[in-house]
Amino acid sequence: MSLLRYLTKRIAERIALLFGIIIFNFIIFQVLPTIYGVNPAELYVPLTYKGLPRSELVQALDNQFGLNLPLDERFFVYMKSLLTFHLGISMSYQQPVISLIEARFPVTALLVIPSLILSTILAIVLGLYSISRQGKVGDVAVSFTSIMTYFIPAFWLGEIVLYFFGFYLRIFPTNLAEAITSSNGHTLVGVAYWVDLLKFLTLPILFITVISYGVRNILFRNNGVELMGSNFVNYLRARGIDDRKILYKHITRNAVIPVVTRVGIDIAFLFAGVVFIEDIFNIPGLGRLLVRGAENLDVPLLGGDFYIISLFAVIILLALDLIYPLIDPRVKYE
Amino acid sequence: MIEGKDLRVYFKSRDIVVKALDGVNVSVKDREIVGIVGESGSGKTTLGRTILNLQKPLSGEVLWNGKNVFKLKGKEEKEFRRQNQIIYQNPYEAVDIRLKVYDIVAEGLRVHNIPKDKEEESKIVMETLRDVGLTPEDEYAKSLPNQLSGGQLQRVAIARALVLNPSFIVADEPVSMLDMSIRAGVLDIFKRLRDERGISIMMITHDISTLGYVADRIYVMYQGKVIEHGSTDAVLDKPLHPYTQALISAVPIPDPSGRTSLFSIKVKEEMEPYNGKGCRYYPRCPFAMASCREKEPNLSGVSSDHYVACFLY
Amino acid sequence: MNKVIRDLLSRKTFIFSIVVILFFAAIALLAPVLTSYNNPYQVSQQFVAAPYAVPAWATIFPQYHDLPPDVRLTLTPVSASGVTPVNSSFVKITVPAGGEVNVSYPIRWNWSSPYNVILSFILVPPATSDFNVNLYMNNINIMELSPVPIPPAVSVTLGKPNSITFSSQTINPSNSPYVNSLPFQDQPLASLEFPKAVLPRPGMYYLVISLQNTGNSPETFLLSNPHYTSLGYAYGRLGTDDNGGSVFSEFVYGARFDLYLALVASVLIIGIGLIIGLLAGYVGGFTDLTLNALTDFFLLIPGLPLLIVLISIFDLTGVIVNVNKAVLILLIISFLSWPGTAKIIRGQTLSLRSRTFVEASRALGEGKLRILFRHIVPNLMGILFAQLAYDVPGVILAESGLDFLGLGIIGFPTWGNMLGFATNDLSFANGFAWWWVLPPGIGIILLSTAFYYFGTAMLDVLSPYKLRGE
Repeated sequence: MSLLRYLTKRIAERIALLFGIIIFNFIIFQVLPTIYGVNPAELYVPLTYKGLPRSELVQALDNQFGLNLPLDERFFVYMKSLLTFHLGISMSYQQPVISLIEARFPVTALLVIPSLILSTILAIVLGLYSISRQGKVGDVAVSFTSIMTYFIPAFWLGEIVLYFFGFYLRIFPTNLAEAITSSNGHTLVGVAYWVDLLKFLTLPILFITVISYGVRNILFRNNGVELMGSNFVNYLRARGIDDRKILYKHITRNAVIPVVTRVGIDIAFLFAGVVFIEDIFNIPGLGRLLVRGAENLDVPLLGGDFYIISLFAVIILLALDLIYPLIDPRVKYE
Repeated sequence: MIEGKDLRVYFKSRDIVVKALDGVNVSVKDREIVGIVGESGSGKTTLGRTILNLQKPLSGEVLWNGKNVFKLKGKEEKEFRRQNQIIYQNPYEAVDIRLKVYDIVAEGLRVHNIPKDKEEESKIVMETLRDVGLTPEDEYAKSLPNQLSGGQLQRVAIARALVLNPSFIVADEPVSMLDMSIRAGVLDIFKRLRDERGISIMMITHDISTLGYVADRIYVMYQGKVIEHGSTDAVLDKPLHPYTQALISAVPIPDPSGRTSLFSIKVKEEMEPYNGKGCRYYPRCPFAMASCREKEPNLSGVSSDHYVACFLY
Repeated sequence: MNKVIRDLLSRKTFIFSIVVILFFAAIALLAPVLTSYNNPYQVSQQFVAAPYAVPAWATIFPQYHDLPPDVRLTLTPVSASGVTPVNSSFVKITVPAGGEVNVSYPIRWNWSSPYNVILSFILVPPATSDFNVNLYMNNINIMELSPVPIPPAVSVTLGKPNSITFSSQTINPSNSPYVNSLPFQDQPLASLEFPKAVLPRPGMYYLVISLQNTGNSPETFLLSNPHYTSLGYAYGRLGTDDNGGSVFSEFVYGARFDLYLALVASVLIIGIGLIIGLLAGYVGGFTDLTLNALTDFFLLIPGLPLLIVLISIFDLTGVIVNVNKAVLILLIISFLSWPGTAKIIRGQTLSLRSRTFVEASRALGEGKLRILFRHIVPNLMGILFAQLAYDVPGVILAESGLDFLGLGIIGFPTWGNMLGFATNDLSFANGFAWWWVLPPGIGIILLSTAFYYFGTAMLDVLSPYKLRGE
């Protein structure tokens, strides 16, 4: 009963969030330009597209986004176009925004998902080490390193790593186009393509792993340390259960819950989080697309990419809400 | 002088409604220490908070010198706050531990603008600290709560209440957090307050033996209801309700020979859940009858100073 | 209060944080004293040394051992017949008819080649046009001065003081015999090659000014002692960037800006967060519901993309023309960063509000506002200080990120755009300019960590209820 109520409440919240994001998009991309006297149509139409003259494009866009309507009526047209993924045509790429995003989604996913798994494993392994030697040098060193990763500017360390491993030691390829092109100039196909692509992505994936494990490690460690001192552990000890077993079975199971939440949030911001890494390693993913949009002041691209990023976040958060009661039984009684 | 009539306070937590107070009548007269006793969850603390308008009831009223305290406004409300004070169970929780003892005690004076100047304020504060036995008072005044022991801090809390020269104090388990050795000292303060200053006190406790020492009258509460009340002597010497009997039998007595008669009172392991209409105590009552399951008993007088809610009488 | 300070000083991490913060604060405050270049991104403040000059102290390492510093010399001639000093800076040279007098200026050069060579002096030639002046350095004819200028000779005015400047960076086939003598395909690179040709390695070199009299009577020349200047490859405390701007100046002024921005933004963030958190937590009810939903909303939209989008849109709509971009970035970062603080303040307020001592204050007759400002807010001080400290790294990182991506400030140095420019330049060709790449990054890390530990210490010391593990 209360579980059902929890779920309804969460779904309602997420739908409200999605609605809020649409309103927010509308304010940024429609209301603001209008206030400052910029015709949104001009922001949305490339000079030519598929040989059509600009005036016809403006007309087509006016129909689609209702750009010539007053703001209040325009909102509904705008909302409809977002919900149906009609995101307009990129000014700088001269391609529909949605197809640009479709092409880049797998790249970002291929970058983020392996590093997410690796860094979670790293966080838990190091966390277990820390918990078992709480307060000793090893623990202090691991924790300090983890905290440092919060504050290392990813873009800075990334460039340095790229320089040393890519340019100086030449262990990893530094150019995607070169990496997936065979020696005779054709793009590789099949297994060879994926192998080379992964080879290229190895460095960024490892880099994201190192730079992002810290938060999860600290979460896991602090939870574990707290649990180690709790009565429930004292009780297990009193029953004569081995410290190792307590650590690996009871502590891990409980301490991992906040880590799961954290990982969920990280997935939610999957599209958003790797802006810098994609920029540094020159990976054509969603983050780089956004930066390109910003550099060229490409409004349709910015709007579309931002909308998809937020939408994805909402969907993942909702999924997280739905599976959360399975992981943490306490949620039901919240 | 202060009287609660048919007070009902329900707390709702998700789907479960907890009836903390379910039609409680209680009165405290001038120069009287009234004891409220019951186990945790019996609603005794809620009663104390409701009496002082710190908790709004669902229904019922609290009359203070004939006025409904929930409807007091402005000056009258301020005067009510000044004259009626509360002392909490955990003194560490009850004071803002950032403040020095002096400021904790002076707080009330400042709120009510009682002293004309700093000197007078200081005089009143120091006097009160001496009154509750915190000497040398100027040293205590300067200290921070975390430098004091529980007993000392509880005295500070008492001083904070006394400094406003109240006529009525709710003391919510004032000694339960303190060591046995210092309990009597704190309880003596309450007795002295009644005898010397004529202050009425509502003493809330789960330990019925404490009340034997200080109280004039006793109310016994069980699950939001008063199930027995009367003068201290009557209730302690001749407990009528099986629950009261169980409470008293649980008190450790130094002389084992006097205990045998009380030992016979046992509490049933709770076998069945409460069915929602009968006497609240029947699931645990060793004397439960069929009628107990069907209807709730009302308080009825067995003598002029002794009332009980039980079908046995 | 003493106890609080003693408690703080007993923490090693707190001492570390204070030392670091004070160090950067001192640098920021003393910036005008520490360096005379307040904006090395301006063209007028560039080329204080060669591009990519290493820090002066780095010459203790063997691979940088020979790198020259900036050199400024006033050359004095070797005494020779016909050369007589007029005063401390001029010499008079009498050249016999048809003869030639060489004035030699020794240069003691202890390093490898410099970035450039600039010579300047004043020449007062005779009033007749029968003369020729040649400049030689390391026996290379670098410049020719003549009253009848046939390229590569440069003209001089007769009988009047001529200010002559030779700069290796402006040499071309029409003004320097050296360039003219090079193979045609090498001529465009003459500016780069010149210093290596005339000052190839440590040693004794001579600038020779050769005065020729082609007339029939002796002539007199006046010559000032030449000034020699060259930009070196070792400069200052932190070397130079790709434009020869002082990295130390950039670092110092970057610290100044970053600290200023971070503190102002953090105060704004705390301000907004405190107001919203307090309102939500203390007023409760519908206010809480609304504000909490708003907070969650801003917490859940992806922050960095939103930041990028907002900056771009403001750029596009021309708001930036009216508002200083730094101010705009500050406002947007603050506007996007308050939710975390608001959430924490709300939680703490809720917890404080339900504490017994708050009810006790109510029982004493204290009003809502009095309780708020006398009991709730003071008990939040620890959290507020901690949040202030925790927000600083966030602001610095966000702003640096924008600058790095080229979407933020580019007109004056910040740590972020230093990193951006430095790392964009990282390539195999340029090598690893560690003196330029490392300081801003290390600065950000040190300052962020320091503020983090500062906040943690404040939280522990100033929030009594947290200390007791509640």
